[in-house]
Amino acid sequence: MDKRTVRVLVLACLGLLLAAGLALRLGAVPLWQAPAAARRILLFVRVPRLLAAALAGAALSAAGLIIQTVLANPLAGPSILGINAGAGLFAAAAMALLPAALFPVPLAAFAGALCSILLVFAVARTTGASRITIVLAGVAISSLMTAGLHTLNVLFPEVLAQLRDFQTGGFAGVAQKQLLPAGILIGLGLAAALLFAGELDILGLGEETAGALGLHVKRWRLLFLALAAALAGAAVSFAGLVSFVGLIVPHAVRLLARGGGKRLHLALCALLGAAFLILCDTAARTFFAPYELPVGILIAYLGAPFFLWLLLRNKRARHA
Amino acid sequence: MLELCGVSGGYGKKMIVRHLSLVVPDGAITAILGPNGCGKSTLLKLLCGQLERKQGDVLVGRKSIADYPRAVLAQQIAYLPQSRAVPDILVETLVLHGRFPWLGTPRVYLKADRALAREAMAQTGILHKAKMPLPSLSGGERQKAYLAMALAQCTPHILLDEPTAYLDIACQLDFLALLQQLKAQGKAVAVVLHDIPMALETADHIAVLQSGSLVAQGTATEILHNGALETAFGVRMVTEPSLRFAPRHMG
Repeated sequence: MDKRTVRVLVLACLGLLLAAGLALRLGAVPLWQAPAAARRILLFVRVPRLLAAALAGAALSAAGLIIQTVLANPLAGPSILGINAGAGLFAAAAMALLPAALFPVPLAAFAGALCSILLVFAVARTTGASRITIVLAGVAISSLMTAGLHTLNVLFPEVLAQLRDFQTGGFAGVAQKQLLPAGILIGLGLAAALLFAGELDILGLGEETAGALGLHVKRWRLLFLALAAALAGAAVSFAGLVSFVGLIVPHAVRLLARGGGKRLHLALCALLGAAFLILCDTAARTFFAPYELPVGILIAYLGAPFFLWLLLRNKRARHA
Repeated sequence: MLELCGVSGGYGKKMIVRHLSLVVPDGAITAILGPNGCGKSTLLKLLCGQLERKQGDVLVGRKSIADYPRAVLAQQIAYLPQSRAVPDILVETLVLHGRFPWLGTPRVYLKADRALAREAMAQTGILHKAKMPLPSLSGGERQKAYLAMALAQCTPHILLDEPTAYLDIACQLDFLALLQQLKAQGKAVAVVLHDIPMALETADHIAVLQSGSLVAQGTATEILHNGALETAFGVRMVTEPSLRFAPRHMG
């Protein structure tokens, strides 16, 4: 590892620690005003929430980077392509229809994310579609999955409340027991992504060059898409439909560590994605106190203009 | 040595190359000529196993290409495709990726790989841009960077698809000198060229294609005089020594 890489990684770690410190300190109840309750507030409210935001941020950002590389499309991301919505639909269906012991929610979310991602991939492969067409295909798939989610809302009103939080995305109702299976899936997914980052680097060179370097392009593309689906699905299973994280963070990372390899980019996505979502969640629950804005709404305010800026930049780059 | 033995292949059901037999010998430059759409690029893809053949066999060092796992094949044949992505990575990182087929898992580049990548960049004259992002380079410089990546692969066979496409005349001369170096190292070099005079001057062996079939193969003199170029391109070739234009480096 060269000095610059070490410096960037250390800074990202410090950023994450700072964000975590702020998240633990700030809240509706100042900890020094209620020393007796402080331990319980930390243990049962702020720490699970911090962990949830960190896990979801890391997973969605890494998934975004993987998807953008595999589809060679900087506009792609788990929410834009309908991957989050697919995970949401399947997770909600599992919550509404199946006992949790039979089919764990993260696994259902993974299946939904995989369905969406494979649909988008099939459109991209069979039509040789442009970047914008792939995004539009994602919008169509997202609408379809969201329609399914609304249908569930109507058919199973008893889970309505749970689903409402789920659709906006947020960590208000996250319980520790939800985090364990999803956390394991995210941990394994991130480890696998870091282990095979070299292959992701080669995929980024394009199909022909990657093939010439001895990579089985089809196999690795599918493996990485499955990995992205696992990461995004696991995050959605407890965080709900948090949009745009997988788009904003990978772009910021590429600007911060321009020219770096995918292993560095993935590590930075995990660290800064976690820090970003922790900060957003802290802002969402403190800025409007005593009310709490679901973090999904706050990120949509940031993400939608960012996506429009990306679209314009992409158009300008193509006309330059 | 690479050998195509009665190979047919194409995309989907469309057959582009038909029953083609060709030898790409070691220590020689083989130029592949032909009009647009005649199957030159498809031929290179079949030669390096990027495209599955429908018929026939490709021999790599007298062994069927089917016997080589992908990574081992990439240690034998470097292939520079015609169209290439321009990822936002440093030039040295791109060139280093040429060492990919030689890495174990996890793929970590070692000091020796970095030394070979620097050597390859020096060979193609792009070392001074090593720390630059690839998108900031001109078309010709990107070409040199990709060429360096193919050289860093350290293979006995090198296939290049229109490598002079974006190069100015001075860079083309550098490139021709580089081809001679590779030949002197005993490598088998196959190169698709559009510049017929350049091919005639540089190549030891020339294959002329038309509609996916081989019209003729031989030395430059043989090809010039057997009418293969006229047949393939549908134009009359005139050799006029008094008008011969042969640029050289100054000094």
